[in-house]
Amino acid sequence: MEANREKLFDLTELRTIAAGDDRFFQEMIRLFIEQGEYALQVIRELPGSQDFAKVKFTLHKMKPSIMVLGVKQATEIIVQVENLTLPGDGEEKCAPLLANLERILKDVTDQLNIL
Amino acid sequence: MSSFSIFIVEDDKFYGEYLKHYLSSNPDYEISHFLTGKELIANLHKKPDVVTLDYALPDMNGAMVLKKIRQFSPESQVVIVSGQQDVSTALDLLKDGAYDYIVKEQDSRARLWNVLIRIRETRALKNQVEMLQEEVGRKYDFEKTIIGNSQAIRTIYSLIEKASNTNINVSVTGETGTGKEVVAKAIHYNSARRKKPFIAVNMSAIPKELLESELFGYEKGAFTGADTRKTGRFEEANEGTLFLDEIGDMDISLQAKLLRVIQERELVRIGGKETIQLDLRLIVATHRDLKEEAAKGKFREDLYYRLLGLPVHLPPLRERTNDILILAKHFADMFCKENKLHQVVFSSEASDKLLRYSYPGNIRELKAIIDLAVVMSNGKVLMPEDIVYSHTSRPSDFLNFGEMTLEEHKRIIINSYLDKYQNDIPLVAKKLGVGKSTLYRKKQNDEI
Repeated sequence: MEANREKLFDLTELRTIAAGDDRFFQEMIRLFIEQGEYALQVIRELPGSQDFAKVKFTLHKMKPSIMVLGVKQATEIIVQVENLTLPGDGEEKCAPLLANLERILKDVTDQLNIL
Repeated sequence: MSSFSIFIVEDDKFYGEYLKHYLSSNPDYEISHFLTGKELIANLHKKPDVVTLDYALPDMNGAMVLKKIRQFSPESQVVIVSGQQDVSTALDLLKDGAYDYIVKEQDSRARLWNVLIRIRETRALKNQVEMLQEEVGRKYDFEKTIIGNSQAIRTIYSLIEKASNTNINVSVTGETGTGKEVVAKAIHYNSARRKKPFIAVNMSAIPKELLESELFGYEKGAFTGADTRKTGRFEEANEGTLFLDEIGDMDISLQAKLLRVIQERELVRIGGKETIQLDLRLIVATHRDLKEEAAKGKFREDLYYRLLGLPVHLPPLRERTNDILILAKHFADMFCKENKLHQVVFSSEASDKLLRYSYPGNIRELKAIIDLAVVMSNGKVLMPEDIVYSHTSRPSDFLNFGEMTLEEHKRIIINSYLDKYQNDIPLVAKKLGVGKSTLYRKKQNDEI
């Protein structure tokens, strides 16, 4: 089970930084979940808001924490979204990327919630 | 090392806490985390050592925050830690004074760690340099280095103070060993230029044919042997003080070039085309009477007047006998301290003997006599027999000095000839049957 959970993310870096400080470790997990849930909210609001700038900015800000938690698939998608012309030509490619990212982020936050 | 304060400015709470926790593993680091530019600015009065700054903050961008840091806490080093990979943004921030720019990637925490070590080491070195500069300044507090109680010395203190408070050139005259370089250093280290270089050049210690390149520098290929560019002493002294000792020995053809440099405040290296602007104070010293040398045509009159500035004349020791015993005590105390010996006192007969001598070598000679006397004494009281004078024209007197090494005998002989022939090295070399370069080398190494 532990092995399956950690296919999506890798907590090695965070555990190294925590250096046995479990309170810190748990707080960082909580912060990531908070950030992830906010990102999911912004992505889900996009069809109504059409606020691509907000989506790009939110994902850009999340990139470092996603790297720390080793969520490699999400990192790759965010880089692709950042390179799209939005609004504009990139809108067609954006939807499936965001759908994929939404699924990954939801899986990650769900699994982190049960840690 | 003392504690090191770091302000992390990062609106991403996760990343900010991640950096904070990581850096806290160094117990010397005091770390604060701010989420906005405004919060940081409100705390700049605390003058952090380092600010790690995210570029994209919710209330203002990193460039604006950097500007505020430079304004309110200019000593703080700023390290941009950002997800932005745009090279031109990074370059602009570095030009505006950021110390480094780190992109948030896998290895960014390790890079930040190394940058902080570098900043800290540089700061420690800078503090050490400032401390040493203060120490040198204290060392050259002129009332501590120019010892004496006589009216002549009090006049010199007053002149040094006047010179230190302005940028005027200074010409120091006096016999050999009267402390001309000590006065030059006292002026420099008590002036606004004290943190800048003090460069001393002894004109008589450098062969005439090398003096021009030594003073003005040269470009690569300017002449045979010029394999690299070399900056001259004028450039090395820029913003500081250049002390030209024995200026009276300067060749008349080089005097013309020196005059031009002093007038124009610029020079061109030998073989070069670039004009280098100069901002320095010039202090010159000589045992000669330059006005007399000018009258004889050996020294340019126009250069003499340019160099004159504030004239400081150091009287020979025989004209300030009030100071002999004060100086003798000072040198004895210094020698005993440096060599971890018990302090000595002078017997009245030793004091009388010191007062009866003429000191052709002035203070330098007195110091040498006292150092030797302390070594030769058998107790804590210096007796007249401990005091040995080196200036004599009778070779047999050398044998009365007690046991010395051959090198010490040679030094005494060479110095007596230099005194006799006014430091004319080529002539003395001829008289003694030794090579000129031997004597120049000894002079450069302070062996004579």
